[in-house]
Amino acid sequence: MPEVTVDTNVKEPQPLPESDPVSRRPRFAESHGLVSAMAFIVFAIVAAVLVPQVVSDPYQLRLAVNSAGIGILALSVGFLVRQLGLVSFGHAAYFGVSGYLIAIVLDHTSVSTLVAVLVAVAGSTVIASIAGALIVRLSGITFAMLTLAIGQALFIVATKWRTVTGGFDGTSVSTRGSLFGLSSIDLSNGAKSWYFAWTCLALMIGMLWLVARSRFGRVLLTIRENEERARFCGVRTYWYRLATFTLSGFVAGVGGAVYALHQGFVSPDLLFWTNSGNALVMSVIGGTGSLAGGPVGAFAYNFAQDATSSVTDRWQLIVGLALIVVVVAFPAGIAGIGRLVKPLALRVWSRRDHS
Amino acid sequence: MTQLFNGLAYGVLLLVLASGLAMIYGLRDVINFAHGALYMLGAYIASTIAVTVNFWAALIAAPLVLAAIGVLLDRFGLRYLSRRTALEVVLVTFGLTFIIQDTVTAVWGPDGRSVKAPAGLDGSAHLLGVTYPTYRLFLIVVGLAVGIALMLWLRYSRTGMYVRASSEDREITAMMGVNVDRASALVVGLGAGLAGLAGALAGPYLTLSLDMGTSILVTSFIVVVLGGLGSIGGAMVAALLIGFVQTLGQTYFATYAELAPFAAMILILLIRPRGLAGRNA
Repeated sequence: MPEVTVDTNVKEPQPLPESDPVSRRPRFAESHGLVSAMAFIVFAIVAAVLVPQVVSDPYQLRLAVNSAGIGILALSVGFLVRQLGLVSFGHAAYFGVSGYLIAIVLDHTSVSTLVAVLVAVAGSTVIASIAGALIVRLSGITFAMLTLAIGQALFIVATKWRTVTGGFDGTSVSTRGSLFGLSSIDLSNGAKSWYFAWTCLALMIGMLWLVARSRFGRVLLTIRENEERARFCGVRTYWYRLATFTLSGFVAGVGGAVYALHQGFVSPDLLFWTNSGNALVMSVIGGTGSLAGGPVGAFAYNFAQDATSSVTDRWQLIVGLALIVVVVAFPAGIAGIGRLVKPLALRVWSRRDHS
Repeated sequence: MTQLFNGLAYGVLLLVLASGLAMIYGLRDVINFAHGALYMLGAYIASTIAVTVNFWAALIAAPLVLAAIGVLLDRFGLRYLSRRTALEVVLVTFGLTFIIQDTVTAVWGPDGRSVKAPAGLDGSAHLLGVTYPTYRLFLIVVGLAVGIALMLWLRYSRTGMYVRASSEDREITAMMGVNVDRASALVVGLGAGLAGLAGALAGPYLTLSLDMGTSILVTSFIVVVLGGLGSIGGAMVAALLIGFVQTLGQTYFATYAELAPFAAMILILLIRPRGLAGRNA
C-alpha cells in the first residue's frame, strides 16, 4: 500500500462534544496510555493466577472459560463498532467456522493440534476477508444486513455439508497430543484451560489496543467520523475498512478456536445469526466506547444468566429489557462506570503525591 | 406449474412481511429486527383465536392486535429515539425481539404447533392443469390483494402521499404541515399489522415454532436489501423473485437450495449496489 498522506486532522481529531466518550479517548489515552497498559497487564496476570484458586466450582470455571471464548467474539464485534461504526450481525459465522476447521483438519490430516488451530484461524480469517471484500464498501443498515446474510449462508453450509460437518448433529473436536502442554482432557477441564483461554483473550485485547492507538487506528477513527473527507485526504478507505474487517474476523476466529477446544464439540448453532446478535448485545452492555467492553459484557452476560437461572426462566426477558435500558439510558455501558471512576481515582492518586 | 404456485405462495408471504419492513424503514430509518418476532406473535395469537373462535376471526383480529402494538411501539418508543443513531434503534428493536420471544414462550410454551385450514379451504383445487391445495391459492390471492391495495393506497390516497413524502424527506414534509409523527405511527402500526397478517396466514401453511421468526426475518432482510432500501415496490418484486428462486432451487439442487437467495442477493448487489429500485442506501 502506498504511503498515504494524512492531514493534520488525523493526528488531532476534531474537537467533538465533550459528552462523547469515544472521540475524547485518544487524548486521554495519550496521557495515560502507559498507566492503562500496565494496569491492564497486572490485572490480566492477577486474574489468570487467581481465578482457578478462588473459583472452585468446576461448572463456574467452565463458564469462565466459555465466557473468555465468547468474550473474544464480543471483542471482535465491538472493535468494528468502536473503530468504524460498523455493526456486524454475522461474526458468529467466523467464530464457528474456525471451530469447525479445527475439527475437520484434525479429522482429515495427521498434523498436530497447534497446526490445526493455526490453519483454522487462518481459514476463518480468509473467509472473513472474502466476505469483507464484498461488503465493506457499504455501511450502516445495508452493511449490517449483508453481514447477517453472509453469516447465514455459512450457517446453511454447516448444516448441509453433512459428509464434512456432520450436519445438524455437529462434530467432535478431538485434539491430538498436547497444545501448549494441555491434553484434550486438560482442555475440557475448566481450571486447566483457563490459563490458555484467558491468555488468548488478554493477547487479543492487547493487540487491538495497540492497533487502535497506532496511526492505522487513528485513520480508522477519521473514516468513522467522515469517510468522504478521509478519502479526500488521500486515505484509501476501502483497504482500511477491509483490513479492519479481516482483523476482526481473525479475532473472532481465535475466539472460536478457544471455545471449540474447550467444548470439544462444534455444531451449526454456533454460526446462527442470533449468536452474532448476542455478541453485539454483550459488547453494547459492556460498552462499545471501550475495547474491554465486549469481554466485560460477555462475562457479565454469562454469569448473570447463570445467577438468574435458579430464580427465573425469564432470562430472555431480562436481556431484552437490559439491552433497551442500556441503549436508551446508559450508552456507555458497564465500561462507562469504569470511565467515571478512573479520572476520580487518578485525581485522588495525584493529590496523595503532592501532600 | 406446481413449483410456480409454490414459489408464488412463499413469495407472497415474504411480500407481506417485507413491504411492512420497507415502509417502516422509509419512515423511521430503522430496520425493524423485531419484525420476525411480531410475525411469530401474530401467528401464535391467530392460532389461539382460530381454535377458540374460528380462522376468519383470527385473520382479522391478529393483524389488529399487532397493529395496536405497532402504534404503541412507535408512539412510546421509536418517536423518542428518532434523534439516536440507527444502530441504537436497531438494538432496541433487537431487545424487543428477546422480550416478545420470551413472552410467547411463557404464554404458549416452547412446543411447535400447527393450525388447520378452515373448512372450504382445506381441500385442493384444479387450476391450470394441476391439483393444488386450496389454502395456498387463498394465501396467494390474499397476499397479492394486500400488495396491490398497499400500492394503490400509497399512490392515490392523501395519507399515502403523506407517507411517501415523509419517507422521501421527513423534515421538509413536516415543514409543509404534515404531521409526520402521526404518519410514522400509522406506518409502523400498518407494518406490524402486516406482520401479524403474515403470521395469521402462515399458520395453516407452515408450522408454528419459536424460531419461525428468526429464520424468515433473514430472508425478508435479503428481500428488502435486494429491492433497494426503502422502496416498497422494489421489495415486493424482490419478494416474489426470492420466493421463486428458493422454491425452484429446492427442485433442482435440493441440498443447497437455501443458499439460492443469498447467491441471488450477492449477484444482484455486485451488479447494482443499490438494489433493484434503491435510491441512496
